[in-house]
Amino acid sequence: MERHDAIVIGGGLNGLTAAAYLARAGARVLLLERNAVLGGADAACEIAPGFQIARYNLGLSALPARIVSELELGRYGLRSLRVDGGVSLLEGGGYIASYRDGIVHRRELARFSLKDADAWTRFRRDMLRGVQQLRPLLAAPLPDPSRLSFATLRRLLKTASRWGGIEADALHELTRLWTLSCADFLDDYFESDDIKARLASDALLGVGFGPRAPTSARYLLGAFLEETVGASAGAPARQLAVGGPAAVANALASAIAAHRGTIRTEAEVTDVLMRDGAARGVVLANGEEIYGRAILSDLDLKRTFLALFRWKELPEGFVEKVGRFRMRGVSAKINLALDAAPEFPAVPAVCPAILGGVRLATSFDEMERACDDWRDRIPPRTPLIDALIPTLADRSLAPAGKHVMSVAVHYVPEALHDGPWTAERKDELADLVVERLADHSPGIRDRIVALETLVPPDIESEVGLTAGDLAQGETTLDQMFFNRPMAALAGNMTPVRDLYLCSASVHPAPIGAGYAGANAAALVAASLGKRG
Amino acid sequence: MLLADRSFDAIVIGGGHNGLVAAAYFAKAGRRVILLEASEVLGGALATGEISPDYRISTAAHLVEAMPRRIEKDLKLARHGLRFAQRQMTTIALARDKRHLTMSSRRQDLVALRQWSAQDAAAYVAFTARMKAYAGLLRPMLGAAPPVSGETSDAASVFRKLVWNARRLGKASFEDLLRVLPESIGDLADENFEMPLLKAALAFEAVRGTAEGPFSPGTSFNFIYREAMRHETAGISLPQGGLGGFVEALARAAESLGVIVRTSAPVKRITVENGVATGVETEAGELLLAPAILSNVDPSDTMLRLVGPAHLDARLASRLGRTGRRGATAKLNLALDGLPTIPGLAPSEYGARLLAVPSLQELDAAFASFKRDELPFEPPMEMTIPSVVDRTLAPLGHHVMSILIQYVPSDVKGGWAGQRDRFLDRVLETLSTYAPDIRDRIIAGEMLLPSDIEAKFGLPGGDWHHGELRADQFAMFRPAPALARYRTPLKGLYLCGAGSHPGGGISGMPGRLAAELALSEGRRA
Repeated sequence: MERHDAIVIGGGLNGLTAAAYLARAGARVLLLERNAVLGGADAACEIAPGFQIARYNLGLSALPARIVSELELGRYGLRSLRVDGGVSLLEGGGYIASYRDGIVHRRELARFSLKDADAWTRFRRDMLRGVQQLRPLLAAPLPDPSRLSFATLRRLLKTASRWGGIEADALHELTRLWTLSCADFLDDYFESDDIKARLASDALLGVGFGPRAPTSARYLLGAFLEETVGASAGAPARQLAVGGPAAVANALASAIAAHRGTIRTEAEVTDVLMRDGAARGVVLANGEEIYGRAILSDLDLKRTFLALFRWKELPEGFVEKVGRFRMRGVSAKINLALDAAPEFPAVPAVCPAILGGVRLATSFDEMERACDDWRDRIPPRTPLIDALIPTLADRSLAPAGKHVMSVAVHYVPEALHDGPWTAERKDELADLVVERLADHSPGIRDRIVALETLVPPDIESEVGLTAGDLAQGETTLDQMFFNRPMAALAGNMTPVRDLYLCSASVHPAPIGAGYAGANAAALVAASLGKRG
Repeated sequence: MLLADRSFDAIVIGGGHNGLVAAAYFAKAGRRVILLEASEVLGGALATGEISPDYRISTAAHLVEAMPRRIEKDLKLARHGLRFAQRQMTTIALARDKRHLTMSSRRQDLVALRQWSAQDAAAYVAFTARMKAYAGLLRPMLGAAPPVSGETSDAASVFRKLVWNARRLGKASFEDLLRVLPESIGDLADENFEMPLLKAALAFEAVRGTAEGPFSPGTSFNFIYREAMRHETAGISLPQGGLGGFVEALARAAESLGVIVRTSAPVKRITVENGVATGVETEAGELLLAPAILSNVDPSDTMLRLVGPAHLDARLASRLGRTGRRGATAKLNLALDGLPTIPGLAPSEYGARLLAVPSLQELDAAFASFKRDELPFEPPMEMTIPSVVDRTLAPLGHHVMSILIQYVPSDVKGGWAGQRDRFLDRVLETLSTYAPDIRDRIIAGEMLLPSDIEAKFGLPGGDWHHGELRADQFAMFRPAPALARYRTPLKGLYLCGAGSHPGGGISGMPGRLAAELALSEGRRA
């Protein structure tokens, strides 16, 4: 009978991160992945011979620097590129780019408004301040405010007195950042609609909010999470891994193997074994039983509890609560193999920002309209398109002279109001997206040698994310922080003893890929008596 | 005029209900108070007007929801003529299929609800109790000046009290509260109920008069806030003679306490010496002096127009210039030659508050149009036929109907010029789905768009609340951190309108709390 200290179900970034931390702490770890390749939504695939692309990746998940350095992923082959933030192509021709270099970036903004170029420094400072306030909350599971032990209560009161002490203006700024819409918040800094729309589109990729929805401003912090104070005061960089997102998964796998952890792919877990109300092991699809002292699930909340458990084994009322956790897919992926680099006549050939991707339909009105369509469950008429051409920076992903284009399409509903996503409707979506790209890049149609369209149901069936929700649960404030995935279950613990969640369904959710895994690993290591 | 005649203990600028309440409380403390109102009549957006001779109706606001009993008693409003045609009004959500839904937890109404959905009937009782409990937590905060961080220890003490009380609700409720507060009312309704009409009616209560949609995050908080504001009152009430009648009683109370009331006396500016507000100059050129000046005018208008940016720091001035105040409400007043027939409605129910909001999806669709500055196809509405319970409003057998229309953009795409009539037609068409004979009954009518309301009542942006109620404009941030607690950077100048805590709705609370604060500071000085 096979026995392990910890079994991790699912080989996405969080699962791999958790396994890597546990292996480093000296635990005997087994990671089980259903598919043939690791990485979950980041897994790589050949869409045509020689063309490598991360099929489901939205180009947003980069591991935080802290995790990369703690796990020494550099030693295991991870190389990152920091490129400029990309360009938005404007409706009437023209473009607006985000540059890492402060001087260049401010000059870029000055093309639209001198005042806005000046406001950039203030905006960046406030974003970094917001990130600083947020960061301590990411690296540890949050206390459950309803359990208010005497100690927690005292801590809360201390926080309260601190609030009582901080300047009202600072508290006001904090409230504005966390409750306002992008539109209202950005109005405080910028006057150019193009600049505001560009920033909002940075923030809202893969989010079920339009720029005018309250509480959408907080997503502006996302791009600044890995920025450091003092670094060139330009736009935040986009981080790409050499070899594509799959390279991150591979480096994590090497780190696990180097610390004698075991990884098994094509090993689908169908059940969690229970004994005396505690998780004791897992059953694989082939009937094999594996035992472990702790079980970590990198699956989303719904899939973990609704698929791996007999419902009557769970506490009363729990299944209903799991059912109420809102998961909705927001994004589709269109992957293109191109036999030549696409040209964008509006953008100067030497513009380095294009390495960070090309974005379309970013005006507030178009984004709002697309979001309304998403809520009405019809295909978006003005989708927000974020196209990354990773081969511009990383030649290893396609044959010489050829390119891949990874197109994330946002505000795509998981199901349509009048029926399922059929092949025809997927083709219509792809046509619309290619059409839009062709508006700005004439001739791109003729360069396409392979194309695949993945809508949320595809993501659900292939990666295993409920409703194709890449965030593993909506990130509305009622499903964030100590409410994620639900009150009393915040943190990585679950009502089942020795079962931990390490996916983005728990705090801190998709903010900073890997944190959920690292936090779960710390808890498990402590309970196993291993040093972290 | 003698110098002594021109100096007062307090000057109140603006004779809206909050200004009247503030002036009355000041006078009640034995002070000499003058109130200056720019227009010919008092009351601001609380007014009764004539649609045509003998047909009188509340021009803008049409129901009193949040005036605490305490203010009624303190100012002896009943003795000064305040009568209510109806208190504890019931709310009925109108259905297209004529199966109208009474929103109440009374036994007979629940029996009706149970016939449609036993699940929802049970859930409704639980839901109402839950929201009442949460509103109870908020109530102490709304009945007092907001805690100001950094200034006193009371911010911490308010927070402590809040945590303790929340904890007393019990673990499950506390968890639930933390989840509900940031949620959208649409999601909350979807979680609890299955009937589209019920969900829509609840959501409408949260978004009415705001520029948010049913799925905008945080709208559940609006619901709880309104519940809390309503709690100190006798439910929703309809004053006799319309809201003008309500204002008359308030004005009589103020005058009997000694307030000198002057109408048609617009103020040109507030005079400032060395950072102290010393008095006001009227448009007529008269200078009045007082150690305390209370402004019922919109906060940004007070600070930027009456005081002037020269006396403010640049940060505050720019913040005020960007106060969120998006009006979203239009008003339609109709004179009818008889009671419209609303099939499915019992004769006794015509006096109720009627909602025309069929489903969350349609409410959201109307909001989506509003968001794009387009006109909603089927605008959500709140209606009353006050003449059913108040015979003084229309000739015998005839009626007046008051309709609040939600999600009307102030600047519509393409301009109002060509669209006003088309929109009126849309509104009447929507109305006809519930009351098929409405068009035949109309004798006269008037429609006030947000821009008309702005012009007529001096409400910038057409926002009835002097600034939207949202987290960054609530409590100690209302209307801006530097202006919280009714004080301004100018000594002697106070804000007493809906732009201050606890905000809009006809509560009189900002007026009372501002007056109490100014009085206590006057004593200390």
